[in-house]
Amino acid sequence: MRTLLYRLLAAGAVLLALGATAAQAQNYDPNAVINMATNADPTFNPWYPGVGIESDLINSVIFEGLTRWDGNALPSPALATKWSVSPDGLTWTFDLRPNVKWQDGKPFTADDVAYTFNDIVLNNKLGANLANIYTPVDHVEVVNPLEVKFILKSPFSSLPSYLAYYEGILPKHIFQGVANPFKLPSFNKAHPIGTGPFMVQSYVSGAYVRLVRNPDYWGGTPKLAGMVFKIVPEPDAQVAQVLSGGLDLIRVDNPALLSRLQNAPGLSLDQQSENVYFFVILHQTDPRFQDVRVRQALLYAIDRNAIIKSVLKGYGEVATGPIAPVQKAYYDPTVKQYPYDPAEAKKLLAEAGWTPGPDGTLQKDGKPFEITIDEGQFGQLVPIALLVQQYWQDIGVKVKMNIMDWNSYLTKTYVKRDYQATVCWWRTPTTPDVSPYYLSSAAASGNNWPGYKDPHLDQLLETELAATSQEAKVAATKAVEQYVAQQLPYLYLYYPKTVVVRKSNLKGLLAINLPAAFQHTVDWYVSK
Amino acid sequence: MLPRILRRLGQGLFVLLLVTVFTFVLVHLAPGGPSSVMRLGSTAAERAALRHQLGLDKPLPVQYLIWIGGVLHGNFGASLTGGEPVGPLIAQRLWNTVKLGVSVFAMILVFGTLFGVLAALRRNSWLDFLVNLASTLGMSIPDFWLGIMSILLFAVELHWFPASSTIDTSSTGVFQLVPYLVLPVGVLTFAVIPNIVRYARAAMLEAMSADYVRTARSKGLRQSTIVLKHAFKNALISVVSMLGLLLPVLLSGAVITESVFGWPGIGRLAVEAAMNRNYPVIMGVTVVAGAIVILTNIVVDTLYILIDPRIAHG
Amino acid sequence: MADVAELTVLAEQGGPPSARRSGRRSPLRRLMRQRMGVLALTLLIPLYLAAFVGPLAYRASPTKTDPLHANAAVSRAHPLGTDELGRDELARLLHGGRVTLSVGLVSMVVALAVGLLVGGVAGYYAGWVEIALMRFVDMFMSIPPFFLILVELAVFGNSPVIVIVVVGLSYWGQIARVVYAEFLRFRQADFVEAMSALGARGPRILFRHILPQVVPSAVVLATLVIAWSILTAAALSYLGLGIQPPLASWGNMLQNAQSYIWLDTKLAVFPGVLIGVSVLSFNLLGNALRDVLDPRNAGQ
Repeated sequence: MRTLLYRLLAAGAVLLALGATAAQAQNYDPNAVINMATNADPTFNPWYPGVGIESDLINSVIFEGLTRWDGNALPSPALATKWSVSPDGLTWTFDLRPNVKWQDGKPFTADDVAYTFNDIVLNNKLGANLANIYTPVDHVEVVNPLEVKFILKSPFSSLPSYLAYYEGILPKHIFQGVANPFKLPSFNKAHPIGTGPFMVQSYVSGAYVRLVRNPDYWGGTPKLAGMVFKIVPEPDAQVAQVLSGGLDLIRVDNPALLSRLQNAPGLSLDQQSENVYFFVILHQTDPRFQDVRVRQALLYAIDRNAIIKSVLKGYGEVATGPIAPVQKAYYDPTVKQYPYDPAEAKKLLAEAGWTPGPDGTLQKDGKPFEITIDEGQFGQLVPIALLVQQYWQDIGVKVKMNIMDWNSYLTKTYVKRDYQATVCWWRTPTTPDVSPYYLSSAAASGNNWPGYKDPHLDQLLETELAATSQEAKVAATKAVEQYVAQQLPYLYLYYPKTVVVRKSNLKGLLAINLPAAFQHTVDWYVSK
Repeated sequence: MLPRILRRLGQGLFVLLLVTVFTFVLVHLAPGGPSSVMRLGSTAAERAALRHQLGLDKPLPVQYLIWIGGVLHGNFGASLTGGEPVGPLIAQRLWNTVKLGVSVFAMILVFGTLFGVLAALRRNSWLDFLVNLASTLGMSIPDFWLGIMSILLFAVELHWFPASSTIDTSSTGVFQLVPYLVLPVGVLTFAVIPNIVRYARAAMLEAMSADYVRTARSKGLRQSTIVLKHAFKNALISVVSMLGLLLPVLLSGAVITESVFGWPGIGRLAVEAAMNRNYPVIMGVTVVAGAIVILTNIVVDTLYILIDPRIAHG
Repeated sequence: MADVAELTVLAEQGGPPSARRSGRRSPLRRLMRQRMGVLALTLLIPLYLAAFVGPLAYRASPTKTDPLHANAAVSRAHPLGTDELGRDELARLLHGGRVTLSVGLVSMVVALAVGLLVGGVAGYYAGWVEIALMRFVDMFMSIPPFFLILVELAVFGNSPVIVIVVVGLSYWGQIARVVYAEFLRFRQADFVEAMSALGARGPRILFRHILPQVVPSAVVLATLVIAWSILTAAALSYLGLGIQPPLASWGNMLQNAQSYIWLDTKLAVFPGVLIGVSVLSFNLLGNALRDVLDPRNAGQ
C-alpha cells in the first residue's frame, strides 16, 4: 500500500516538474491576437493593379514568394529552397519546397508558380502590379512538380531579390478557368488562399481584416493565434491608438509624431531602414538641366542636413546614391559628396553661363532662371519642397511652387511627365539593380522619371545585370554608384529612417526592417 | 394628396437623373485617373492595359450608358480599387452612417427641443442668454478641430473612450457600440444642434402666443397646463418637420466627423472615392445621397402641408 | 417647391413668422441682441484691421523658411515663435487671416450674386422659367455638398480664386431659395396688383418695392454665409484641399499643425481660436442684424 502511495507521489512529482518546465519553455501567450493598422481597404492579391502599402504587409502574411528576405535583407529560401543560374545568365533554376499546402489543403506545386508568372504577371493585357520588373523574363517552365526554370530574354542577376518583393504565388486551382483573375472578388476581397502562416478569417470594408494562424503552415505553427489589421487612414489616429492601447504595432513615417511616443510606458521604438531614397528630379527634356554643372550646383545649394534635422527631426541620413546603406554588401560611401556649399553652387552656375542679373536673379542670355516645382500632398513632400524652394531662391533662382492633391500630382508629373522639377521618392526592393529607374529605354514611358539618357550609364547597368558572380556584381554596382554620384540623374536628398513603435511584449520580429519582419511572422510572439 | 406626391416623385426621379449626368461629366473632367491606374512605378503599357480592362477607354457617353444600364438592373458596378461590388459596399457604409446619424438625430431631438423650449419658457433670462451663446458657439467652432481636441483629451490623455471607431459596426451589439459612438456623436451633435435649439425656441414662442392659448390663459388656466398640453405639442410638430431638412446637413457634417474618427461611413467613402477617382463608387454614392435628399424634401413638404394646409394653396 | 422654401426661410430666420410679431421681442431682449452685435463688431473690426493692415506694419515674411530654428518658442525675433519650417508664426497668422477672411467675404459675394440672380429671376418671371430654375436649384442641392466641392476642385484646380468660387457656390442655392420665397410671398400680396393698376412698370416694382423687402433676409443670410464659408474652407483644408501652401490660411495652418500637436501645441491653438472667433462674430452679427433689419420687428 505504502509503495503504491510513494510511487504515485513520485509520479506526481515528476509530472509536476515536467509541467513546470513546459510552462517555462512556453513563455509566450499561445492565444495572443495582435492589432495592427493599415491605411486603407486592402486587396488580397499582390498582383492586383494598384495595390500598395495598404495591402503589402497583409499580403506578406497570407502569401509567400519563391524567396524572402533574411535578417540582412538578402534573398533567402521561402517556397524555393535553392536556386542557380546558367553560365549564360539566361536560365534560372529554382528547386521548390516539398510538402507545402495551400490554406485550403491542396498541395503547392510548380504548376502554381508557372501559372502565377505565365498567366498573370507576364500577361500584358492584364497590367499586373509591378509586372514591368519582369520584362527580362520570357516565360516559366515546369521541369517537375518541385522544379521550375525561369527562361530569360536578357540577363537578370537580381531575379532572386525581386522574387522576395511582395511577389506572392497564387493558387492555380482557384484561378484556372477564371477569365480575369482581377475580377474575382471572392478571392481578392474576401477569402484569399495562400501558403503563408496566417489566413483571412473575416474582412469588413473600412473597418478591419481579421487573420488567424494557419495550423498546417510548413514552417511550424505560428506562435501568434491571429492578427487584426484595423483600417485607420490617419497617421495621427494610428498614434493615438497605439497610445491608448488599441494597436500593438505601427510604422511611423512622420517624426513629429514621435515626441509623444518616446517616453510612453510599455512601448518600444525601433529605428529601421529600407531601400528608400528621396530625391529632387530635374526634367531632362529641359535643356537647362542637361548641363551636369547645373544639376550639381542645385544639389550643392541644398542643406540636406538642415532638412533632416528640421522636417525629419533627425530620422534620416544624407543620400549619396540610389543604393541605401541597408544594402551593406553593395553600398559605396566613397562616391562624390555634395556638402552644403552655396558658394560652390553659384560658381558652377556661373561656369554654366548663369550670372546674377540686376535684381539678383540668375540669368543667361537675358532670360532669368525660373523653375516651377510641382508637388503632391503626401507625407513630408510639401515641407521638403518648400525648403528646397528657399535654398534655390537663396542662390538666385526664382522658384514657383505648384502644390496639388496626390492623384492630380501623379497624373501630371509621373504619367504625363509634365513638370520641371519635383521632390519624390523611390522605394525599391533590396536589390542593387537600379536599371528600371536609370536606363535610357525606361525614359519616357518607364520608370526613368527624370528622362536621363546616357549610353555610358546604360552600359554600366547592363554589365551589372549580366554579372554571374557576387564579386563581379559588387564591382559593377560600385561603378554605377560612382558614376551616378558624378552625373546626378537624380539629386539625392536622404534615406529616411522609419520608426516602428510596438508594445514591448511583442517580440520575435526581424530587426532589420518591417517588410522583412513580415515575411517571418511565424516567429512573432507576445511574451507573458 | 396622392397625385401630388406622385408628381413630386416623378419630378424627383428626373432631377436624380440630371444629377447623375452632371456628376458623371464633372467627375470624368477631373484630371487624374483612378488611383489603381495612376500608380508610382507603373509603365505606360501597364496603364493602357488597365484602362482597357476597366472599360475606361470607351467614349464617355458609352461608359455612362453602360453604367446606367447596370443601375437599372440593380448592378452598381465594381470598385476600381479592389473590384468589390459597389452596391453592397455602399449599403454597408450607409448603414454605418445611419447608426451615427440616428444617434445624433435622437440627441438633437431630445436636447435641442429641451433647450429650445426651456429658453422660450424662460425668455430674456440668463438661461436664454446662455443657451443662445452656447448654440452660437457650437456653430462657430470648426468641427474637425473639436473632434481632434476631443480625441486628444478624452481618448489619449484620459483614456475614457477609444480613439477611433474601426470596429465591425455591423456585428457589434448596440451596447458594445456605445463607447465608440460617444465622441463622434458628441462632436456632430454639438455642431448641428444650434439650428434646432433656435427653431424650437421660436416655435415654442409662437405656440405660446397662439390665440387659443391666450384665450385659455385669460380664462384662468394655469400656465403649466397650457404649456404642456398645447403649445409643446404644436412646437414639437414644427420642430420635427424642420428635422427633416437637417438630414442633408447631417450627411455632409458626417463627412468630417467620419474622417476625424475613422468611422466607416458613407461620408468617408465619398471623400476617399473622390480623391481616388473611383468612378463607380462616386456615382453610386451620388445616386444614393441624391435620392435621400430628394426623398427627404418630398416627405418634409408633405408633412408641412399636413400641418398647415394653407401652404398647399399658397 | 414653395413649401420647402418657406421652411428654409423659417429656419434661417429663427422661427415661424408670428414668432417675430409684437411682444416677442421685448426691449430687454433687443438690448441683449444689440450687445451681441456690438460684441461681434468689437471682435471683427480689430480682426479685419489686423489681417489687412497688420502685414504692412509687421514686415516679417510668412514664407521665409529657417529650418534650423523650427518650432521655436516666443522670442523677440519671433513674437509668437516659429512653425515646423521655421517660418514666423505671427506673420503667418496675419497673412493667413487676410486669406481666410477674404475667402469668407468673397465667397459670400459669389453666393449672394448667383443666389439673388437665380432666385430673383425665378421669383419675378413666373411660369416655366420659374420651374426650370428652381428644378436646377433642386438638382444642385441634391448633390452632397462636400462631394460636389471635392469634384469641382479636382476638375478646376485649387488656385485661391477657384477655392473661393467653389465654396461660394455651395451656398448660392440656399440664398436662391430664400430670395425666391420672398418674391413668392410678395407676388401674393395685393399691392403688386395695385401698383400695376396704378401704372408702375416691372423694374420699378422690382427695385422700389420688392428688393427692399428681400434685402433684410438676404443680408442676414449673407452674414451667416460668411461664417459657413470660413468653416467650409477650413474643413477643406483639413482634407488637404482648399487653399494650398505656401499661401497661408488659418485652415491649412490648422491642418499642418495636426501632426505637431504634441510637439508644438501652439501651432494648433492659434489658428483654431482665430477661426472660431471670426465665425462666432459673424454669427452674432447675423443675429443682431436680424433684429435690426427685419421690418416685421420694426416698432417693437
